[in-house]
Amino acid sequence: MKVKELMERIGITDTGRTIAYVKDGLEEINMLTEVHTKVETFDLTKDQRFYTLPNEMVKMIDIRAKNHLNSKDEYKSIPRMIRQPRTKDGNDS
Amino acid sequence: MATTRQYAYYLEGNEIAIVEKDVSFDNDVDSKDYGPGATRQRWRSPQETIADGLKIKYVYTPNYRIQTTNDVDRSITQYMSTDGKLTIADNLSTYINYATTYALAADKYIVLKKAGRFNGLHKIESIGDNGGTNNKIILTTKYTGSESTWTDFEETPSLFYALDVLEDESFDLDLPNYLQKALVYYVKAKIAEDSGDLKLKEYSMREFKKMIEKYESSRITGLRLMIPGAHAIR
Repeated sequence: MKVKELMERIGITDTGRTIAYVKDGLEEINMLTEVHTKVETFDLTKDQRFYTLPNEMVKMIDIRAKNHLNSKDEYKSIPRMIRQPRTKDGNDS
Repeated sequence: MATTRQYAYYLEGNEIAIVEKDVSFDNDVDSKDYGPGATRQRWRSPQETIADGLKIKYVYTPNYRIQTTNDVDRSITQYMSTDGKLTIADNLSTYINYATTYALAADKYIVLKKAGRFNGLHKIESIGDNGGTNNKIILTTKYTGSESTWTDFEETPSLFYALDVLEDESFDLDLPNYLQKALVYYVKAKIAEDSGDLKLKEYSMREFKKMIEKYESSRITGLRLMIPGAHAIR
């Protein structure tokens, strides 16, 4: 369906507003149903704790680390900590 | 054989913090951890550099379509900030001319993949020179970083330039057919909210959510069972 057809179904002629709401709707749909997913790979650097998440990320589904609880170079999901660890990172304020 | 490790994460702002359990034995008699009963296993920053050590799976908004994955450039090597805007460039000796080779120009769009935090859709502000001719692309994406030193990308980014972008009514929505109809209800709800018709807004949002639930449910086949969790008393 093109945006034009969507506008005809709703009965609106304001393209700018429609496009803005379509973008909002696409974001909402993907947060609920996870239609469009992507996997991004990062290098783990010694003594670097913080890694910036991709800007386009709407929702995180899974985080996997290499050799987590195995020695076969397999990627396994890692758990989330409820509290921050006692040992702070050198760059942590 | 690789070493078995144990990781965990927590979130801080727009960053993810990765910690690793340090199980190395502390033989320092002056350390508080020395001796029986002391806590020897601590969560610390990663203990070793591992290439491609982390994979993050995430959801993104499809406000663009890549027309063909054959039209891709993999010559981008570095990035930096220029007046607070992300700048990428081919800084190897090849010095690709992006203006003539791929017809890139101001106000055109590109999509970056394998670019870490810069994945996604970007708009070009200008094309410039950096050692070569038109081998530097300044984007409108905000980025606060070094304005004097180029930084290498971890991987080799893919730059897609043959795109359809959601900026006019000719854009074909990149959604399953059923969800396109749900999107109609969502936009109706927003328009109704603007005009103050809250009944229509609530009705449209309810229909939107119903369609989303139906779509989700339609992808589950067979018997539906509720089973206790792995740690439940059975």
